[in-house]
Amino acid sequence: MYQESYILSDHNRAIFSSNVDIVITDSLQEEDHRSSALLTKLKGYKGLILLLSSKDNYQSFSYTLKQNGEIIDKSLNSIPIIPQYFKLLNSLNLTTKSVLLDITSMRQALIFYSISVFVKEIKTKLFFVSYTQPKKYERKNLPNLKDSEEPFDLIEMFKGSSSPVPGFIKKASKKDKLLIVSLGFDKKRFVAINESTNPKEIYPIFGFPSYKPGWDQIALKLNSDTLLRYDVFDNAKNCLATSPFDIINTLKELELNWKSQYDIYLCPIGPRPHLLGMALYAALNNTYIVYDFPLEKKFGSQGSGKTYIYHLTNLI
Amino acid sequence: MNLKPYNPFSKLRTEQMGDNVWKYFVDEPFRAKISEKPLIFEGSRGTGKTMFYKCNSWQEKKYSYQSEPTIKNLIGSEKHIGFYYLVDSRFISSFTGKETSEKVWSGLFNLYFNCVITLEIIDFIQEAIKEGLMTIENIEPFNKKLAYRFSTHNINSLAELKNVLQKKLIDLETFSNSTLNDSPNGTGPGIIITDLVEELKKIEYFSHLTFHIYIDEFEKLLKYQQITLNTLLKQSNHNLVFDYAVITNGIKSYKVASQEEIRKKDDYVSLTTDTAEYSNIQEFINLAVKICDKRLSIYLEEQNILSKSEDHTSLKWYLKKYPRGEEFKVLSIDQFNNLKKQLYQVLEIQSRKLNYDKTTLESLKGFFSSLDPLIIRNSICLLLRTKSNIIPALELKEMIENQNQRYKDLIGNTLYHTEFLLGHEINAAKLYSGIQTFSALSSGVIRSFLELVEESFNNALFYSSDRLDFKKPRQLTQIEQSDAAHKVSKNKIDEIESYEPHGFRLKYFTLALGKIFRSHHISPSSTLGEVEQNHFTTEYNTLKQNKEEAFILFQEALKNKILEQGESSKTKDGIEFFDFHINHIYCPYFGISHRRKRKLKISAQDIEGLLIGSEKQIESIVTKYLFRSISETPNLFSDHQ
Repeated sequence: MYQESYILSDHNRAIFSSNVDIVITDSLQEEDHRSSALLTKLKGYKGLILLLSSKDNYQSFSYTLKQNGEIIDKSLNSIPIIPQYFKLLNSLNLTTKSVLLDITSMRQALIFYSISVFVKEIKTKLFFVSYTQPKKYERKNLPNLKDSEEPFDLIEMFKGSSSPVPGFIKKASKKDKLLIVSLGFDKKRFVAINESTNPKEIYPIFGFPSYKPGWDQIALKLNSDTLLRYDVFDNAKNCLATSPFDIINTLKELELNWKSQYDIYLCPIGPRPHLLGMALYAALNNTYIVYDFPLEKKFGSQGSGKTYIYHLTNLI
Repeated sequence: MNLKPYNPFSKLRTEQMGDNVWKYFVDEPFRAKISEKPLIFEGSRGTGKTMFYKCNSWQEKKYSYQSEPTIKNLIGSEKHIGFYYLVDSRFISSFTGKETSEKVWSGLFNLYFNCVITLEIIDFIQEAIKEGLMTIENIEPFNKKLAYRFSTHNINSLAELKNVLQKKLIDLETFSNSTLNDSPNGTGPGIIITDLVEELKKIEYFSHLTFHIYIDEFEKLLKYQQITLNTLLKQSNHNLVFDYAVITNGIKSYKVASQEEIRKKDDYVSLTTDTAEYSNIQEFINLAVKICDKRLSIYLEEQNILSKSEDHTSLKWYLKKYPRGEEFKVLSIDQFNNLKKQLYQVLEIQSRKLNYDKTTLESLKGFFSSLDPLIIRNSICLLLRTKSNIIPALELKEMIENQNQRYKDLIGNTLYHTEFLLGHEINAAKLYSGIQTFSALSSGVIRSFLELVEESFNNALFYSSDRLDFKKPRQLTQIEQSDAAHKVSKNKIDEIESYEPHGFRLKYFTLALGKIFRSHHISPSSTLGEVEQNHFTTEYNTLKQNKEEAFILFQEALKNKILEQGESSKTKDGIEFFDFHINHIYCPYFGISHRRKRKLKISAQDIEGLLIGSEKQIESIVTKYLFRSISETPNLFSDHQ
């Protein structure tokens, strides 16, 4: 499979700054260094910036469109993702433009729908996706929670994994389900999603090599009880945590082996590049996606590391 | 290595049973519940709702005629024929908003429901045609009507009929993903299903049948969708009946489209397993045991193991009940010396109060220290009683020697509590064994019972030095059963966090309650006046009316069976109280009694704090309810075991 990805650096930033027409990113939030990392690194970028936010991370969003620091359009209130986000993108004539979608801090509902639209509806001139990795995750600040093995301050509340995923709404069939789940540091999400999906077979995927040495081991340790409980340790697979391409290859292999027997359900609760890979794969192959839509918690991470840019024009 | 195939009890969910659901099914005690009147089966997860409805659907029920599993045999002796439908929440919960009116969505939901249920019935028709019970011509009027309704070409075969319906479902998918597309035309509730059933009822073979649509996971429907199906439930008649399975508190509305409501008895029969008493009634125990015995027999048959005795196919034999208090039979020298030291201190204090002479004191020390450790610890508690409740040591000695009724009553009320107290002091995990105990721990949830049995057998089959071999079977040890109880209990506590959407908060709440109850079980200064405090009462109506956010979480706790609701009682002021028990499966984890004895009163305000307060607020409320003389630092999340 053709793979093209870059680490944004002094050597290539001018190329991206001058060749991208619109950056679609999360509404910049001062406390979150990672959400602003891309635009900080793309010095000299003068194109359009579409800033998105979604309080409910599910069905509504708001936006601000900027050029040269000036606001040229803005939603007054929260508006429904379906159909308004498509209307907005359509109004920007993106078929003649190069688009860079920054998924670093973007709410997942917006990432899913964006990928669905760019794969199925709007073919852009060039299509890039960027992701800035975190430096570290915040430690849990709880009183001696001896029964919890989750060391990181992760999400407290979810919309729930029985919710539809925008752009990937699909009627369930009567076939048995095979769940492919990209895992991270939050084992309760895996349990909840498994409960609501009732798969016959599970393939867990870990981000390895990870952003930092040892993070894959933490994810493995945190999920090991659950893997044992579901008897799926032997099915575990590793995919590069910083790339959407590696996981797409793994998904292809698994689908080839199992498609005749099962409906494949993809569940990206691990690293964001995995979420991107799964969303791309699902949009291209009309596969099911299951997701639980975390709410409330904004920043589970601290600092910003490398920024990856994936060139996906050929893929979509 | 996957060990599950070697354990007869490893399939815990209906979905794990694949095409073999019927063979695991025990149809008692709910056999008579399917009737011309709709049934609403309400229960928490794992109470067997899916199994019940799946096994009453025609695809499964025909396997009750093992020699020839045909529709002909099935309808020859059955009056009811069922079609199972699991709510597809990821799809139909998308039928809302998106700048589309609820009226339009309601019509589209009706279209969806008509299509999916009709497709289910078509599977039945396909098989009935194969068996020669009917021909495609029998439903020609229906096909014509549908073609007219959908403005489509003539429908001449089942394949065409399926295609027409499936195309409608694809149109719905497309519209739901982008409401800028043209909306398909909606329909009225259940009209296509009714049309088809009417045609089928004209066929001689089916004329006596009542068609049932079993709707599983009703709680996952949006409110307007529930109202639509309530309308169908209310319109049920001897031809077509709509029955639901719903999680406790999962009904969002009892209304029907005409603003009337569906009413118990008038409109439907209610079946619920979520009462605080259910796990103790013989009906539950019998059902749980029958399910396990059936699995055991199937397993032994599959493995070609001939049992030499009837015992070997009976769960009761394997889950041997051991005498209580085994964990206290052998104490270390240090532990026993500590116990004696406590005993002597208490006897000396009482001797000073009651003016016992030195000889009497020494004789009392000798007598009491010769008793079983558990009785010694129990006696220490009783000797700590003061004022009008005092029990003089000499009197207690006499009672013990004579084993009189008063002592029997005292022991009956207090000894079980003492097991938790002494267990804590000598760091011995509580031992559990036997079917009655497992039944009580499962709180009326069949899946919890099966998990306890599965883990017990896992311990015996895979982790024992004397591994269980079904060819030479043996009874399970108390340790194997107890370890299972503790493991399942911990797993269930862990699981709370995964209850969407408020699992994180609910886990804090459960841990807080456990901490409070635990403190009342392990106080060293306990006189056993109030024993086994393991449930609470609160002003339910205050919570409901004035603490909206907390009440939502409280309802979630009930829905997820973290709490069980008991009978209500009213005060003189008319304030309504309910008893709330934590699910007994959590009791081994907290080291508290699972029996229904004493309760604490926790104010609605404090319940609110425990559910939605900050960490500090939660800890301060917990401190308030801890057993008063506990001097330990009130850290919520430590010291459960």
